[in-house]
Amino acid sequence: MPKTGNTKAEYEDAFAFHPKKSDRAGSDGCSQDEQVPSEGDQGGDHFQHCEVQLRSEDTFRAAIADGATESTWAKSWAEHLVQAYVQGHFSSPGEVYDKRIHEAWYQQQRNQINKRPTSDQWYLEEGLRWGAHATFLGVEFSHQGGEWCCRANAVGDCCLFHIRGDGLSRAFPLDDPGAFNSSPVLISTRQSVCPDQGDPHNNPSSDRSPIEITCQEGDEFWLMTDALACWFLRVQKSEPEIISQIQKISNFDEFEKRIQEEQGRKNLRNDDVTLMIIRIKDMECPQEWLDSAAQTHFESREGT
Amino acid sequence: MPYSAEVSRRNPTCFLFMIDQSGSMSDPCPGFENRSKAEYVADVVNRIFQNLILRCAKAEGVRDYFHIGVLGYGAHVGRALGGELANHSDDLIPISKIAEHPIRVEERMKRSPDGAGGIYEEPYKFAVFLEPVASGSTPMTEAMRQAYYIVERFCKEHPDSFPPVVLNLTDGEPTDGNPEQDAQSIRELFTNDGQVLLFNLHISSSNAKPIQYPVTDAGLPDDAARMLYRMSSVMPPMFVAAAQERKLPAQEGSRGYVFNADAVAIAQFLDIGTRVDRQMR
Repeated sequence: MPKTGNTKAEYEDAFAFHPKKSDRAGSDGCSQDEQVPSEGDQGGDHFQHCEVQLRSEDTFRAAIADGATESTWAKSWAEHLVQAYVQGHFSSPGEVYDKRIHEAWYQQQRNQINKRPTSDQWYLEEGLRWGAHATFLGVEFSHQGGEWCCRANAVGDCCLFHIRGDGLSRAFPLDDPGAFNSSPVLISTRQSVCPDQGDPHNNPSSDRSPIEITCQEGDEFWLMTDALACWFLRVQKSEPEIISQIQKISNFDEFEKRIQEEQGRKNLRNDDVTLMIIRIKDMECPQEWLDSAAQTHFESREGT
Repeated sequence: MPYSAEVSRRNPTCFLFMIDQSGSMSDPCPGFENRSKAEYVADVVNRIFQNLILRCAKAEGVRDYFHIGVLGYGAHVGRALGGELANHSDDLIPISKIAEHPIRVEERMKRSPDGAGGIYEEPYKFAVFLEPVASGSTPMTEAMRQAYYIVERFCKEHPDSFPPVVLNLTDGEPTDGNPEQDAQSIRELFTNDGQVLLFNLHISSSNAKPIQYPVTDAGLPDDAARMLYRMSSVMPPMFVAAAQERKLPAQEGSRGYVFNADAVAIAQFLDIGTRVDRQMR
């Protein structure tokens, strides 16, 4: 959901996952309380529920990103990053420049600018020259050595929380609410610092090393953008029941109400909010898939 | 806590630039022998405008986080922006309107490090909103009086906003009396988030070392310098932090004042005085 006072169109977080459906007819289910966004149409105001079945040779990827407010093109860069990651165009933030992920994005934006009124073009072009920046978190689930494994990459302060049982098992890359600040490391569209812009904090290759977590049935992986992640880390220390409270949220209205309550109490900073929950279900093979060495069942929910 | 209000379209803040346009501004700018102080100041103000616009620009357009005005004082006192902006109905103009109406957009080249030890040249757009002017005397007192009314109106219309910041750039002493009382009146204006901030910068005519963001007037050489010190607000912590990030000697209690500013110090002063990014939502 967008920060209070902004419209849905001004939501500058992004999220994506792939595959959205299994490639086996009848083996998945996808429902949503509100419209499922298509690529390039992430309105930031919906709640979506999807189930995906995977075989051992499959991978499942999900990502969230948070466009930096001061970037003219933050929203489209955040969307481009998450789509490129889940489509497998890059696997770690350090590959963004090597695989020229940013070049396709630049071309898309130039095409957009050419359609705009002349009076707007000078600052849109300068905004493009300054570049866009975003924090990023990507997770990949794959089957390795007989087990399903989650590999997570992060740049900046989008966070992954591994929930096992009714507790927080691991937080990545930040595990301390005091570690959040207004200058996170960012993935920039520019490889070098734009001299006009000061300090864009863009050095993704130097950020945290990826982590790997072996999955168990019932595990949940929560992906959150910074404001929500900071709030969650702080609250769960004194109120561990917050985990079950979040798990019980079943529609957008409940999600929005809780977020607005916390923002109203100044517990949660007014910012775009994105939450994606990936739940591991049914790790045993169904009869019809016995040709597969292993299979699991992913359930994904996002509230944004 | 003061100076913590969100800067948003619902609660924009304002920057009012007061530019000395007296005849002495035609003297060379220290560090740029072939450019006048007026030319350099116009260039830096245009660059700051561009930066402010880009901080507010989104793909769908420019968001009005800021209202901006420029008051020139020299042969006359009044609005100094050129082109269509000179005819705008208000002294303070929403930044989206400013973005749409530069006098012209120039193509310039910038030399930048390429990250591998070399230099590359990169073209960029440079929008011009303010032209250099240098004529007449230094009617700073009248300018302060006009600034008061401009800022007073903004505070009334935006009571919950981050307080306006007034940035005064001058190379000389006022020629129309003592502006201290008017400066104090400006600083006593307030929104619910704090008092209006008045920062002053004295542009040097020599290569003497600048005195930046002092906490006392002890090291200042003359009455005119001490007067500008007294006219300047104590910097709130966020501006002190912005100065410290640039390795400048600001500390708790520093005044928003630079004496004997050279070219670098002028650019830093305007950059620091407009750094409210962390309040932007």
